Amino acid sequence: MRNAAIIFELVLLAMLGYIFFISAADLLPRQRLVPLIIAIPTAAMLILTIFGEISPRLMRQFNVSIIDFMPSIDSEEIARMEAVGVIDSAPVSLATELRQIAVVLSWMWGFFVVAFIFGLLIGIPLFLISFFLIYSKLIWWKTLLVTVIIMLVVWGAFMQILGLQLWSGILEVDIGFLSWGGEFIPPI
Amino acid sequence: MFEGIVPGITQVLSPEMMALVALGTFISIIFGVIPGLSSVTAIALLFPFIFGMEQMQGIFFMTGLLGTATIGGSVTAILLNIPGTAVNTATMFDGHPMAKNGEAGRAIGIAATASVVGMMFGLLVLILLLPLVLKIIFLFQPPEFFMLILLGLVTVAFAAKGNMIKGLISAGFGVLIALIGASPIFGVERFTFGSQNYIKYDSIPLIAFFVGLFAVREVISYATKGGTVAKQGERIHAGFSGIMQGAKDVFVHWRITLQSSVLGTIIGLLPGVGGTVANFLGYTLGMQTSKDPSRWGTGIPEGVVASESANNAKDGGALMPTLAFGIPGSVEMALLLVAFTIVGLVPGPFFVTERPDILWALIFGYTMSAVMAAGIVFLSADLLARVTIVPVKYLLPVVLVFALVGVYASRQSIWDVALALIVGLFGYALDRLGFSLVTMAIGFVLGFLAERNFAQSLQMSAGDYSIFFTRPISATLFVVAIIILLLPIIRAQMSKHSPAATD
Repeated sequence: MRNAAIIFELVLLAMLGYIFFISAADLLPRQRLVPLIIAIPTAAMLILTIFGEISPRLMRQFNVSIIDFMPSIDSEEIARMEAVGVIDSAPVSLATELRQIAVVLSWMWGFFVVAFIFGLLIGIPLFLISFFLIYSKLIWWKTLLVTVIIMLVVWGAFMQILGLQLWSGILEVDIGFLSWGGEFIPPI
Repeated sequence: MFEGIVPGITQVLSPEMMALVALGTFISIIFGVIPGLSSVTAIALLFPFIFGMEQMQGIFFMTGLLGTATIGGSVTAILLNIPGTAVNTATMFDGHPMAKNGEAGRAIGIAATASVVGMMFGLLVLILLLPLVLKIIFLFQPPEFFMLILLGLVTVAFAAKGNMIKGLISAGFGVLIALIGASPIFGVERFTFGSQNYIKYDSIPLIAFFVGLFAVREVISYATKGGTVAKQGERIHAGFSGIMQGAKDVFVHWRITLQSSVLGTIIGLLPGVGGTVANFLGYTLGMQTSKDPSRWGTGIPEGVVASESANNAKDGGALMPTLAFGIPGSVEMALLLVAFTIVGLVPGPFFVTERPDILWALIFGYTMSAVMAAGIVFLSADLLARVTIVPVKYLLPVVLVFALVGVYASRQSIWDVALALIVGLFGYALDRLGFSLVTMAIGFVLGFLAERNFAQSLQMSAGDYSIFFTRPISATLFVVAIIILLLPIIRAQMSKHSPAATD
């Protein structure tokens, strides 16, 4: 976990350096003043944190909270209680956790890509059906039932109440009586 | 300030507003009942609907969403021995033993009534103190506000659990992310790298950011933990018997109710400390001041009274800095400010004097929401407890679909959906590695305000930075912030010289 933390903190530092220092060079001094006032101590604290990951003793004294100054309250006990029973599951290894993150991210981005191409009205049921059947291993009729209910809520709440026109996808389909899609890709 | 009372009452009693409060309350209770989800997730998911509402509609809907998740969370704490939200943890200590002793209905009656009483107490303190605070506000100019924001962020980082340095880093990132986009102060685009999407909309979209941070991140978090939301097999039926007895208990043990409500309100005033500490501290204080502390934890009504009145009273306290200074001390209050912005309100120092109708709408909305929540919990505790048995793997896609469609609905930008996914992963990594999301969210909300006050201060002083340190209030706030920053070192020194360390 320590290596993962160091890598993540280095990425944060690189982002900070590139976005708020290097790219800020083009701005006038007064335009970059506040970003720099915030970014410089943030970067300094990130460097301190990275050293702290290597030498935990350095960071330990900053593991302090207002709770530590309150009589009869143990911050570790609070943290323990906050974690109690939130999810009924056993702790997993980092490798398993990363694999699970990769799986769920694949589903999320898969949903995004399908919705981007075919539109949300096709993307949502396609995502729900495949997710329930493959990931949740829900039986087919329950899958269909839940999908229909969710689609009805999306249609009712977003399209009827909010009057929203859902993204129809970049793929243009025109088969005479039925046509949809053909959205322009908006500039990023 | 008090001229808004009549419009406030008139508004809250209209069927339309009552329906919106009821809807918000019901949704919030469901989210409160499901462990791991909270009113924050509910608000993040429902922001798009607030977009489509008029000012008062949005405010009343928000009051329903904000104040009642903890009441729902107490049901699972009592019936399942699992806190629905983190702020219900201490409720389990006596609530569940009471349920095991056949007094589930009574415990739920206590929790719901104590929540209503606690919340009303907090709001009463807000009403009484706000006029005094408003007198002080006029002493605050841009330098004082800048320092107040700085102090607020430092305090939240200090209050957030975990490492203080990481809390401050999160706050820094929150502020910096808020500065991405077009700057209305300088009239330039900053840190956009030519992105048309964010230039067009001035900044990083609030809704995509908050949905990513609090809903998409939650989905990733759920996926990595798996399992069911709550353990099965330990559920105890509530029934209706004893509910009225429970309601009476809150008044029978009035000293504990009052003590915990006062404590909860004070905790609410402190930025970032939050309901978990209020809940825990209320319980501990109740136990310490009890004639027979050994009975606590065995299933006594006082335990539930102490914990539930404290965690709901904090809302009144938390509203104070939010309404008086426009500076939120918790994620919920940060989201309230975001909701204000969505419905076209500009929160800030003179907000309460300029819009007293909104203040009273909030107060009456909160009160009505708490009463409605108590009614819902009284009537459907058993049914609510069943919601927690839903396996996570069925919950994930539903939350994700509503989160992402909601993000799209807010600005009809497909790239906002992608941004929410990126922010979700970023938020998960931050949370997992001990960086506080609370400070990031508050930093994000306050970022623009900080820069505006900083620029105005320099305008006042013709570019002289000493303005922040020569004005008495500003200098005092700065000194307090420095003292808080030095507290870890002070504590380390104190523990070195303590008798235990010497031994």
